[in-house]
Amino acid sequence: MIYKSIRQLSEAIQSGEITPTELTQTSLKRLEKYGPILNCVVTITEERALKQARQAEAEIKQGKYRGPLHGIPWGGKDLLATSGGIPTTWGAYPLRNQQFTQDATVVRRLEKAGSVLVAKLAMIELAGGMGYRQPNASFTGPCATPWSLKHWSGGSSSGSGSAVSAGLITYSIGSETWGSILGPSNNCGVAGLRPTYGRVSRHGAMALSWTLDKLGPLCLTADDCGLVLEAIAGPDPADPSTAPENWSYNLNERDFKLGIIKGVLEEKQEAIAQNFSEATKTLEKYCTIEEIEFPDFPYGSVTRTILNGEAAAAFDDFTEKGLAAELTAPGDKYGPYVRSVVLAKDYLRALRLREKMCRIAEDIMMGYDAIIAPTSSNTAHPINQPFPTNRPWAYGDIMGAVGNGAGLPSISLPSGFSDEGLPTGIQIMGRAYDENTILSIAKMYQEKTSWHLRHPEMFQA
Amino acid sequence: MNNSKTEKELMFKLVEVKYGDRLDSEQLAAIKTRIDRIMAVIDEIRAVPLENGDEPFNVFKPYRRD
Repeated sequence: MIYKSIRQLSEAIQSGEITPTELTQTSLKRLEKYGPILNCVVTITEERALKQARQAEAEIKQGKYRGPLHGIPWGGKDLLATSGGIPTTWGAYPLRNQQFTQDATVVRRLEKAGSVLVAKLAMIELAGGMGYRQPNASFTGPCATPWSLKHWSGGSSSGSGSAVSAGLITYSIGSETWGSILGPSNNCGVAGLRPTYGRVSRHGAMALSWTLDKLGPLCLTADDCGLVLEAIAGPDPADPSTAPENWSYNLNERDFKLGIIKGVLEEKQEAIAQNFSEATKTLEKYCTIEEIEFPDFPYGSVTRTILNGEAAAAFDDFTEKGLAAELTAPGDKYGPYVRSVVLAKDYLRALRLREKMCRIAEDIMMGYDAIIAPTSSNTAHPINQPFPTNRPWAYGDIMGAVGNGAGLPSISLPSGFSDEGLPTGIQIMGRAYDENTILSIAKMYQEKTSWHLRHPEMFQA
Repeated sequence: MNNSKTEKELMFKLVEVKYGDRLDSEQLAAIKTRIDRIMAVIDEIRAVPLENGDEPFNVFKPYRRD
Protein backbone atom coordinates (compact mmCIF):
# COMPACT_ATOMS: atom_id res chain seq x y z
CA MET A 1 0.00 0.00 0.00
CA ILE A 2 3.05 2.22 -0.24
CA TYR A 3 3.19 4.68 -3.12
CA LYS A 4 -0.45 4.30 -4.02
CA SER A 5 -2.54 7.24 -5.12
CA ILE A 6 -5.52 8.48 -3.13
CA ARG A 7 -7.95 6.93 -5.63
CA GLN A 8 -6.17 3.57 -5.44
CA LEU A 9 -6.19 3.59 -1.65
CA SER A 10 -9.77 4.78 -1.56
CA GLU A 11 -10.84 1.82 -3.71
CA ALA A 12 -8.83 -0.55 -1.56
CA ILE A 13 -10.45 0.81 1.60
CA GLN A 14 -13.94 0.65 0.17
CA SER A 15 -13.44 -2.91 -1.07
CA GLY A 16 -12.04 -3.99 2.28
CA GLU A 17 -8.67 -4.94 0.79
CA ILE A 18 -7.11 -2.74 3.45
CA THR A 19 -8.51 -1.03 6.52
CA PRO A 20 -7.81 2.56 7.60
CA THR A 21 -6.17 1.18 10.74
CA GLU A 22 -3.80 -1.04 8.74
CA LEU A 23 -2.94 1.83 6.44
CA THR A 24 -2.38 4.15 9.37
CA GLN A 25 -0.21 1.64 11.21
CA THR A 26 1.92 1.17 8.10
CA SER A 27 2.34 4.91 7.86
CA LEU A 28 3.18 5.28 11.56
CA LYS A 29 5.81 2.52 11.37
CA ARG A 30 7.43 4.06 8.31
CA LEU A 31 7.42 7.50 9.93
CA GLU A 32 9.19 6.05 12.95
CA LYS A 33 11.68 4.15 10.86
CA TYR A 34 12.51 6.69 8.17
CA GLY A 35 11.51 10.01 9.70
CA PRO A 36 14.76 10.41 11.66
CA ILE A 37 16.87 9.44 8.65
CA LEU A 38 15.29 12.21 6.59
CA ASN A 39 14.71 14.68 9.47
CA CYS A 40 11.24 15.14 8.00
CA VAL A 41 9.11 14.64 11.13
CA VAL A 42 8.61 16.81 14.19
CA THR A 43 5.83 14.87 15.95
CA ILE A 44 4.20 11.56 15.16
CA THR A 45 0.57 11.97 16.21
CA GLU A 46 0.00 8.27 16.94
CA GLU A 47 -2.80 8.51 19.47
CA ARG A 48 -4.88 10.89 17.41
CA ALA A 49 -4.14 8.95 14.23
CA LEU A 50 -5.27 5.60 15.60
CA LYS A 51 -8.41 7.15 17.04
CA GLN A 52 -9.24 8.75 13.69
CA ALA A 53 -8.41 5.54 11.83
CA ARG A 54 -10.71 3.45 14.05
CA GLN A 55 -13.48 5.98 13.65
CA ALA A 56 -13.02 5.93 9.88
CA GLU A 57 -13.13 2.15 9.89
CA ALA A 58 -16.33 2.05 11.94
CA GLU A 59 -18.04 4.64 9.74
CA ILE A 60 -17.09 2.91 6.51
CA LYS A 61 -18.36 -0.42 7.85
CA GLN A 62 -21.66 1.31 8.58
CA GLY A 63 -21.79 2.61 5.02
CA LYS A 64 -21.00 6.19 5.98
CA TYR A 65 -18.30 6.89 3.42
CA ARG A 66 -17.15 10.51 3.52
CA GLY A 67 -15.22 10.56 0.28
CA PRO A 68 -11.84 9.73 -1.24
CA LEU A 69 -9.82 10.98 1.75
CA HIS A 70 -11.70 8.82 4.26
CA GLY A 71 -9.16 6.74 6.17
CA ILE A 72 -6.17 8.15 4.26
CA PRO A 73 -3.08 9.17 6.30
CA TRP A 74 -1.70 12.70 5.91
CA GLY A 75 0.91 14.93 7.47
CA GLY A 76 0.77 18.66 8.16
CA LYS A 77 3.55 21.21 7.97
CA ASP A 78 4.24 22.13 11.57
CA LEU A 79 2.79 25.60 11.24
CA LEU A 80 -0.75 24.22 11.23
CA ALA A 81 -2.26 24.49 14.69
CA THR A 82 -3.30 21.16 16.16
CA SER A 83 -5.17 20.83 19.43
CA GLY A 84 -5.04 18.10 22.03
CA GLY A 85 -1.56 18.68 23.34
CA ILE A 86 0.18 18.17 19.98
CA PRO A 87 2.93 20.80 19.71
CA THR A 88 2.95 23.25 16.80
CA THR A 89 6.56 24.36 16.73
CA TRP A 90 6.85 26.47 13.57
CA GLY A 91 10.23 24.73 13.16
CA ALA A 92 11.70 27.09 15.73
CA TYR A 93 13.64 26.02 18.82
CA PRO A 94 12.17 28.74 21.08
CA LEU A 95 8.68 27.55 20.13
CA ARG A 96 9.36 23.81 20.39
CA ASN A 97 6.73 23.37 23.10
CA GLN A 98 4.14 25.75 21.67
CA GLN A 99 0.61 24.41 21.77
CA PHE A 100 -2.75 25.65 20.56
CA THR A 101 -6.18 24.79 21.89
CA GLN A 102 -7.88 24.72 18.51
CA ASP A 103 -7.16 23.08 15.19
CA ALA A 104 -6.43 25.15 12.11
CA THR A 105 -9.33 25.27 9.65
CA VAL A 106 -7.46 23.03 7.20
CA VAL A 107 -6.93 20.44 9.92
CA ARG A 108 -10.64 20.53 10.81
CA ARG A 109 -11.68 20.19 7.18
CA LEU A 110 -9.44 17.18 6.65
CA GLU A 111 -10.83 15.60 9.80
CA LYS A 112 -14.32 16.22 8.45
CA ALA A 113 -13.23 14.46 5.24
CA GLY A 114 -12.25 11.49 7.39
CA SER A 115 -8.54 11.76 6.75
CA VAL A 116 -6.07 10.57 9.41
CA LEU A 117 -3.41 12.95 10.75
CA VAL A 118 -0.28 10.88 11.37
CA ALA A 119 2.43 13.52 11.74
CA LYS A 120 3.44 17.15 12.06
CA LEU A 121 6.14 17.67 9.53
CA ALA A 122 9.47 19.44 9.60
CA MET A 123 9.80 22.92 8.24
CA ILE A 124 12.33 25.69 7.99
CA GLU A 125 12.07 27.78 11.14
CA LEU A 126 9.34 30.39 10.86
CA ALA A 127 8.80 29.30 7.24
CA GLY A 128 12.07 30.89 6.18
CA GLY A 129 10.92 34.31 7.22
CA MET A 130 14.18 35.24 8.89
CA GLY A 131 16.12 34.91 5.63
CA TYR A 132 17.94 31.60 6.06
CA ARG A 133 21.05 30.88 4.03
CA GLN A 134 21.56 27.12 4.41
CA PRO A 135 19.54 23.90 4.63
CA ASN A 136 20.22 23.53 8.35
CA ALA A 137 17.63 26.06 9.44
CA SER A 138 15.29 24.08 11.65
CA PHE A 139 15.60 22.79 15.18
CA THR A 140 14.86 19.32 13.80
CA GLY A 141 17.95 19.46 11.58
CA PRO A 142 18.34 19.76 7.82
CA CYS A 143 15.73 17.74 5.94
CA ALA A 144 16.89 15.47 3.11
CA THR A 145 15.28 14.61 -0.17
CA PRO A 146 14.61 10.85 -0.26
CA TRP A 147 16.47 10.78 -3.60
CA SER A 148 19.77 11.54 -1.90
CA LEU A 149 20.44 11.93 1.80
CA LYS A 150 23.30 14.26 0.86
CA HIS A 151 20.88 16.73 -0.71
CA TRP A 152 18.30 19.08 0.73
CA SER A 153 14.57 18.49 0.49
CA GLY A 154 13.96 22.15 -0.23
CA GLY A 155 11.93 24.46 1.98
CA SER A 156 10.25 25.76 3.80
CA SER A 157 7.75 22.86 3.53
CA SER A 158 10.69 20.49 3.86
CA GLY A 159 9.05 17.54 5.60
CA SER A 160 5.89 17.93 3.53
CA GLY A 161 7.85 17.13 0.38
CA SER A 162 10.21 14.58 1.87
CA ALA A 163 7.61 12.45 3.70
CA VAL A 164 5.40 12.10 0.61
CA SER A 165 8.37 11.29 -1.61
CA ALA A 166 9.55 8.60 0.81
CA GLY A 167 6.10 7.01 0.91
CA LEU A 168 5.66 7.66 4.63
CA ILE A 169 2.30 9.36 4.14
CA THR A 170 -0.14 9.60 1.26
CA TYR A 171 -0.21 13.38 1.09
CA SER A 172 0.77 16.44 3.04
CA ILE A 173 -0.25 20.03 3.49
CA GLY A 174 2.46 22.63 3.05
CA SER A 175 2.50 26.37 2.67
CA GLU A 176 4.03 28.80 0.23
CA THR A 177 4.85 32.46 0.64
CA TRP A 178 7.46 32.37 -2.12
CA GLY A 179 8.66 28.94 -3.26
CA SER A 180 7.89 26.85 -0.19
CA ILE A 181 5.53 24.32 -1.81
CA LEU A 182 7.05 24.31 -5.28
CA GLY A 183 10.68 24.10 -4.08
CA PRO A 184 10.26 20.92 -2.00
CA SER A 185 8.07 19.44 -4.74
CA ASN A 186 10.93 19.98 -7.20
CA ASN A 187 13.63 18.62 -4.91
CA CYS A 188 11.62 15.61 -3.75
CA GLY A 189 10.07 14.69 -7.10
CA VAL A 190 6.43 15.02 -6.06
CA ALA A 191 3.42 17.04 -7.20
CA GLY A 192 2.82 20.24 -5.24
CA LEU A 193 -0.05 22.64 -5.73
CA ARG A 194 0.07 26.26 -4.67
CA PRO A 195 -3.57 27.38 -4.92
CA THR A 196 -4.81 30.86 -5.68
CA TYR A 197 -4.37 33.17 -2.69
CA GLY A 198 -7.57 32.95 -0.67
CA ARG A 199 -8.64 29.58 -2.05
CA VAL A 200 -7.73 27.88 1.24
CA SER A 201 -8.25 29.35 4.69
CA ARG A 202 -5.11 30.39 6.53
CA HIS A 203 -6.88 30.43 9.89
CA GLY A 204 -4.77 28.61 12.44
CA ALA A 205 -1.65 28.57 10.26
CA MET A 206 1.39 30.59 11.26
CA ALA A 207 1.52 33.80 9.27
CA LEU A 208 4.75 34.83 7.60
CA SER A 209 3.17 37.29 5.19
CA TRP A 210 -0.57 37.80 5.39
CA THR A 211 -1.08 38.67 1.74
CA LEU A 212 1.39 36.16 0.32
CA ASP A 213 0.82 32.96 2.37
CA LYS A 214 -1.04 30.08 0.72
CA LEU A 215 -1.68 26.53 2.03
CA GLY A 216 -1.69 23.66 -0.44
CA PRO A 217 -1.17 19.91 -0.93
CA LEU A 218 1.93 17.92 -1.82
CA CYS A 219 1.08 14.50 -3.24
CA LEU A 220 2.31 11.74 -5.51
CA THR A 221 0.15 12.97 -8.39
CA ALA A 222 -1.63 16.03 -9.73
CA ASP A 223 -4.93 14.17 -9.44
CA ASP A 224 -4.31 13.64 -5.74
CA CYS A 225 -3.66 17.38 -5.40
CA GLY A 226 -7.10 18.07 -6.89
CA LEU A 227 -8.81 15.68 -4.49
CA VAL A 228 -7.10 17.19 -1.46
CA LEU A 229 -7.73 20.77 -2.56
CA GLU A 230 -11.44 20.03 -2.86
CA ALA A 231 -11.49 18.96 0.78
CA ILE A 232 -9.69 22.02 2.13
CA ALA A 233 -10.85 24.84 -0.17
CA GLY A 234 -13.73 27.17 0.46
CA PRO A 235 -14.80 30.30 2.31
CA ASP A 236 -14.05 30.59 6.02
CA PRO A 237 -15.52 33.36 8.18
CA ALA A 238 -12.44 33.01 10.39
CA ASP A 239 -10.24 34.10 7.45
CA PRO A 240 -11.72 37.12 5.65
CA SER A 241 -9.20 36.75 2.82
CA THR A 242 -10.81 33.52 1.64
CA ALA A 243 -12.60 33.58 -1.70
CA PRO A 244 -16.40 33.59 -1.22
CA GLU A 245 -17.01 30.72 -3.64
CA ASN A 246 -16.76 27.03 -2.89
CA TRP A 247 -14.54 25.00 -5.18
CA SER A 248 -15.03 21.63 -6.84
CA TYR A 249 -12.41 19.56 -8.58
CA ASN A 250 -13.52 19.28 -12.21
CA LEU A 251 -11.19 18.12 -14.94
CA ASN A 252 -11.43 19.36 -18.50
CA GLU A 253 -9.79 17.36 -21.28
CA ARG A 254 -9.18 19.58 -24.27
CA ASP A 255 -6.36 21.27 -26.13
CA PHE A 256 -4.70 24.03 -24.16
CA LYS A 257 -2.70 27.12 -25.02
CA LEU A 258 0.45 27.67 -22.98
CA GLY A 259 2.96 30.47 -22.75
CA ILE A 260 6.69 30.23 -22.02
CA ILE A 261 8.41 33.41 -20.85
CA LYS A 262 11.25 34.40 -23.15
CA GLY A 263 14.60 33.58 -21.59
CA VAL A 264 13.12 31.27 -18.96
CA LEU A 265 15.90 28.73 -19.45
CA GLU A 266 18.71 31.22 -18.98
CA GLU A 267 20.98 30.44 -16.05
CA LYS A 268 19.28 27.13 -15.41
CA GLN A 269 21.22 23.97 -14.61
CA GLU A 270 21.67 21.80 -17.70
CA ALA A 271 19.45 18.96 -16.49
CA ILE A 272 16.70 21.42 -15.59
CA ALA A 273 16.78 22.99 -19.06
CA GLN A 274 17.03 19.66 -20.84
CA ASN A 275 14.17 18.04 -18.95
CA PHE A 276 12.03 21.13 -19.41
CA SER A 277 12.58 20.98 -23.16
CA GLU A 278 11.54 17.32 -23.16
CA ALA A 279 8.48 18.20 -21.09
CA THR A 280 7.43 20.84 -23.59
CA LYS A 281 7.60 18.22 -26.37
CA THR A 282 5.18 16.11 -24.35
CA LEU A 283 2.91 19.07 -23.72
CA GLU A 284 2.93 19.95 -27.43
CA LYS A 285 0.96 16.74 -28.04
CA TYR A 286 -2.11 18.48 -26.63
CA CYS A 287 -1.11 22.10 -26.18
CA THR A 288 -0.13 24.99 -28.39
CA ILE A 289 2.93 26.66 -26.90
CA GLU A 290 4.04 30.21 -27.63
CA GLU A 291 6.79 32.42 -26.36
CA ILE A 292 5.63 35.39 -24.32
CA GLU A 293 7.32 38.36 -22.79
CA PHE A 294 6.70 40.30 -19.62
CA PRO A 295 7.45 44.02 -19.78
CA ASP A 296 10.23 45.50 -17.72
CA PHE A 297 8.92 46.01 -14.19
CA PRO A 298 10.39 45.39 -10.73
CA TYR A 299 8.27 42.28 -10.07
CA GLY A 300 10.75 40.75 -7.64
CA SER A 301 11.28 43.95 -5.70
CA VAL A 302 7.55 44.54 -5.32
CA THR A 303 6.89 41.06 -3.95
CA ARG A 304 10.02 41.10 -1.81
CA THR A 305 9.15 44.44 -0.21
CA ILE A 306 5.67 43.14 0.62
CA LEU A 307 7.21 40.03 2.13
CA ASN A 308 9.82 42.00 4.08
CA GLY A 309 7.30 44.48 5.48
CA GLU A 310 4.71 41.88 6.45
CA ALA A 311 7.26 39.45 7.89
CA ALA A 312 8.73 42.22 10.02
CA ALA A 313 5.28 42.94 11.44
CA ALA A 314 4.22 39.31 11.78
CA PHE A 315 7.27 38.50 13.91
CA ASP A 316 7.55 41.86 15.64
CA ASP A 317 6.86 40.49 19.12
CA PHE A 318 9.13 37.50 18.56
CA THR A 319 11.92 39.81 17.40
CA GLU A 320 11.53 42.40 20.13
CA LYS A 321 11.69 39.68 22.78
CA GLY A 322 15.06 38.65 21.38
CA LEU A 323 13.93 35.11 20.58
CA ALA A 324 15.73 35.14 17.24
CA ALA A 325 18.96 34.48 19.16
CA GLU A 326 17.70 30.94 19.83
CA LEU A 327 17.00 30.08 16.21
CA THR A 328 19.12 27.48 14.42
CA ALA A 329 20.46 29.18 11.28
CA PRO A 330 23.19 31.72 12.07
CA GLY A 331 21.65 34.24 9.68
CA ASP A 332 18.23 33.86 11.28
CA LYS A 333 19.61 35.06 14.60
CA TYR A 334 19.99 38.58 13.20
CA GLY A 335 17.90 38.47 10.02
CA PRO A 336 14.70 39.91 11.50
CA TYR A 337 16.41 43.10 12.61
CA VAL A 338 17.23 43.97 9.03
CA ARG A 339 13.59 44.35 8.16
CA SER A 340 13.23 47.29 10.52
CA VAL A 341 14.41 49.42 7.61
CA VAL A 342 11.29 48.86 5.52
CA LEU A 343 9.39 52.10 5.94
CA ALA A 344 5.59 52.08 5.95
CA LYS A 345 5.46 54.26 2.87
CA ASP A 346 7.70 51.83 0.97
CA TYR A 347 5.58 48.86 1.97
CA LEU A 348 2.49 50.76 0.80
CA ARG A 349 4.28 51.69 -2.39
CA ALA A 350 4.82 48.00 -3.01
CA LEU A 351 1.09 47.39 -2.47
CA ARG A 352 0.28 50.13 -4.96
CA LEU A 353 2.66 48.58 -7.49
CA ARG A 354 1.13 45.19 -6.80
CA GLU A 355 -2.04 46.34 -8.51
CA LYS A 356 -0.07 47.19 -11.64
CA MET A 357 1.76 43.87 -11.49
CA CYS A 358 -1.52 41.97 -11.25
CA ARG A 359 -2.91 43.80 -14.27
CA ILE A 360 0.26 43.19 -16.31
CA ALA A 361 0.08 39.49 -15.49
CA GLU A 362 -3.63 39.21 -16.29
CA ASP A 363 -3.29 41.15 -19.57
CA ILE A 364 -0.66 38.65 -20.72
CA MET A 365 -2.19 35.52 -19.29
CA MET A 366 -5.73 36.19 -20.58
CA GLY A 367 -4.52 34.90 -23.92
CA TYR A 368 -3.37 31.59 -22.45
CA ASP A 369 -4.56 28.78 -20.27
CA ALA A 370 -1.31 28.76 -18.32
CA ILE A 371 2.37 29.68 -18.33
CA ILE A 372 4.96 26.94 -17.95
CA ALA A 373 8.53 27.07 -16.68
CA PRO A 374 11.01 24.91 -14.82
CA THR A 375 9.99 24.82 -11.17
CA SER A 376 13.49 25.66 -10.03
CA SER A 377 16.81 26.79 -11.50
CA ASN A 378 18.61 23.89 -9.87
CA THR A 379 18.20 20.39 -8.55
CA ALA A 380 18.41 19.84 -4.79
CA HIS A 381 21.22 21.71 -3.07
CA PRO A 382 23.89 19.81 -1.06
CA ILE A 383 22.58 19.47 2.48
CA ASN A 384 25.73 20.59 4.27
CA GLN A 385 26.56 23.68 2.24
CA PRO A 386 25.33 27.25 2.46
CA PHE A 387 23.31 28.57 -0.45
CA PRO A 388 25.04 30.68 -3.10
CA THR A 389 24.94 34.39 -2.25
CA ASN A 390 22.39 35.11 -4.93
CA ARG A 391 19.95 32.30 -4.41
CA PRO A 392 18.58 31.54 -7.88
CA TRP A 393 15.14 30.81 -6.48
CA ALA A 394 15.01 34.09 -4.62
CA TYR A 395 16.30 36.58 -7.14
CA GLY A 396 15.51 36.83 -10.84
CA ASP A 397 12.58 34.48 -10.34
CA ILE A 398 9.83 36.16 -12.34
CA MET A 399 7.48 33.18 -12.07
CA GLY A 400 7.81 33.24 -8.30
CA ALA A 401 7.62 37.00 -8.00
CA VAL A 402 4.55 37.35 -10.20
CA GLY A 403 2.97 34.08 -9.17
CA ASN A 404 3.13 34.84 -5.48
CA GLY A 405 2.80 38.62 -5.67
CA ALA A 406 -0.34 38.29 -7.78
CA GLY A 407 -1.62 35.27 -5.82
CA LEU A 408 -1.76 32.94 -8.83
CA PRO A 409 -2.07 29.15 -8.65
CA SER A 410 0.75 26.90 -9.80
CA ILE A 411 1.46 23.19 -9.75
CA SER A 412 4.87 21.55 -9.87
CA LEU A 413 5.26 18.09 -11.37
CA PRO A 414 8.30 15.83 -11.65
CA SER A 415 9.80 16.15 -15.14
CA GLY A 416 12.81 13.86 -14.99
CA PHE A 417 16.16 13.44 -13.27
CA SER A 418 19.65 14.84 -13.43
CA ASP A 419 22.73 12.70 -14.05
CA GLU A 420 23.14 12.60 -10.26
CA GLY A 421 19.68 11.05 -9.94
CA LEU A 422 18.07 14.17 -8.50
CA PRO A 423 14.55 15.10 -9.61
CA THR A 424 13.67 18.08 -11.75
CA GLY A 425 10.29 19.75 -11.97
CA ILE A 426 8.07 21.67 -14.34
CA GLN A 427 5.55 24.21 -13.10
CA ILE A 428 2.24 25.12 -14.69
CA MET A 429 0.94 28.48 -13.49
CA GLY A 430 -2.59 29.63 -14.21
CA ARG A 431 -4.71 32.70 -13.93
CA ALA A 432 -6.31 33.48 -10.62
CA TYR A 433 -8.86 30.84 -9.58
CA ASP A 434 -7.97 28.53 -12.52
CA GLU A 435 -6.89 25.54 -10.43
CA ASN A 436 -9.03 23.19 -12.53
CA THR A 437 -7.28 24.33 -15.71
CA ILE A 438 -3.78 23.74 -14.39
CA LEU A 439 -4.82 20.47 -12.79
CA SER A 440 -6.28 19.32 -16.11
CA ILE A 441 -3.07 20.16 -17.97
CA ALA A 442 -1.05 18.49 -15.22
CA LYS A 443 -3.12 15.30 -15.18
CA MET A 444 -2.87 14.95 -18.93
CA TYR A 445 0.91 15.44 -18.69
CA GLN A 446 1.14 12.69 -16.10
CA GLU A 447 -0.95 10.36 -18.28
CA LYS A 448 1.72 10.76 -20.97
CA THR A 449 4.77 10.50 -18.69
CA SER A 450 5.85 8.19 -15.89
CA TRP A 451 8.18 10.34 -13.77
CA HIS A 452 5.63 10.37 -10.95
CA LEU A 453 5.70 6.57 -10.85
CA ARG A 454 9.38 6.44 -9.98
CA HIS A 455 10.22 6.33 -6.30
CA PRO A 456 13.47 6.42 -4.35
CA GLU A 457 14.78 2.88 -3.95
CA MET A 458 15.85 3.25 -0.33
CA PHE A 459 12.25 3.68 0.83
CA GLN A 460 10.43 1.10 -1.24
CA ALA A 461 10.35 -1.48 1.54
CA MET B 1 15.43 58.58 -6.69
CA ASN B 2 18.22 56.37 -5.34
CA ASN B 3 18.89 55.68 -1.71
CA SER B 4 21.78 57.80 -0.67
CA LYS B 5 24.69 56.44 1.26
CA THR B 6 23.34 58.59 4.11
CA GLU B 7 20.00 56.83 4.17
CA LYS B 8 21.65 53.39 4.28
CA GLU B 9 23.93 54.56 7.06
CA LEU B 10 20.98 55.94 8.97
CA MET B 11 19.07 52.70 8.56
CA PHE B 12 22.02 50.72 9.82
CA LYS B 13 22.37 53.16 12.72
CA LEU B 14 18.71 52.61 13.58
CA VAL B 15 19.27 48.86 13.80
CA GLU B 16 22.50 49.32 15.71
CA VAL B 17 20.95 51.67 18.26
CA LYS B 18 17.85 49.56 18.80
CA TYR B 19 19.38 46.11 18.79
CA GLY B 20 23.15 46.50 18.97
CA ASP B 21 23.31 45.16 22.52
CA ARG B 22 22.06 41.78 21.21
CA LEU B 23 24.43 41.51 18.29
CA ASP B 24 28.14 40.90 17.87
CA SER B 25 30.37 42.72 15.37
CA GLU B 26 30.14 39.91 12.81
CA GLN B 27 26.35 39.98 12.90
CA LEU B 28 26.30 43.77 12.59
CA ALA B 29 28.57 43.57 9.55
CA ALA B 30 26.24 41.00 7.98
CA ILE B 31 23.26 43.21 8.78
CA LYS B 32 24.94 46.10 6.98
CA THR B 33 25.26 43.94 3.85
CA ARG B 34 21.67 42.83 4.07
CA ILE B 35 20.48 46.39 4.54
CA ASP B 36 22.30 47.33 1.35
CA ARG B 37 20.39 44.60 -0.41
CA ILE B 38 17.00 45.57 0.99
CA MET B 39 17.60 49.22 0.15
CA ALA B 40 18.55 48.26 -3.42
CA VAL B 41 15.22 46.46 -3.68
CA ILE B 42 13.40 49.48 -2.27
CA ASP B 43 15.27 51.75 -4.68
CA GLU B 44 13.75 49.77 -7.54
CA ILE B 45 10.19 50.26 -6.39
CA ARG B 46 10.76 53.93 -5.56
CA ALA B 47 11.91 54.44 -9.15
CA VAL B 48 8.49 53.55 -10.58
CA PRO B 49 6.34 56.68 -10.82
CA LEU B 50 2.94 56.56 -9.17
CA GLU B 51 0.04 58.98 -9.01
CA ASN B 52 -2.19 59.93 -6.13
CA GLY B 53 -4.96 57.76 -7.56
CA ASP B 54 -2.83 54.59 -7.48
CA GLU B 55 -4.20 52.91 -4.39
CA PRO B 56 -2.79 49.98 -2.45
CA PHE B 57 -4.22 46.69 -3.69
CA ASN B 58 -5.87 45.94 -0.36
CA VAL B 59 -9.45 46.98 0.08
CA PHE B 60 -10.45 47.97 3.60
CA LYS B 61 -14.06 47.26 4.46
CA PRO B 62 -15.49 48.54 7.75
CA TYR B 63 -16.53 45.67 9.98
CA ARG B 64 -20.02 45.09 11.18
CA ARG B 65 -21.08 41.99 13.04
CA ASP B 66 -24.76 41.84 11.97
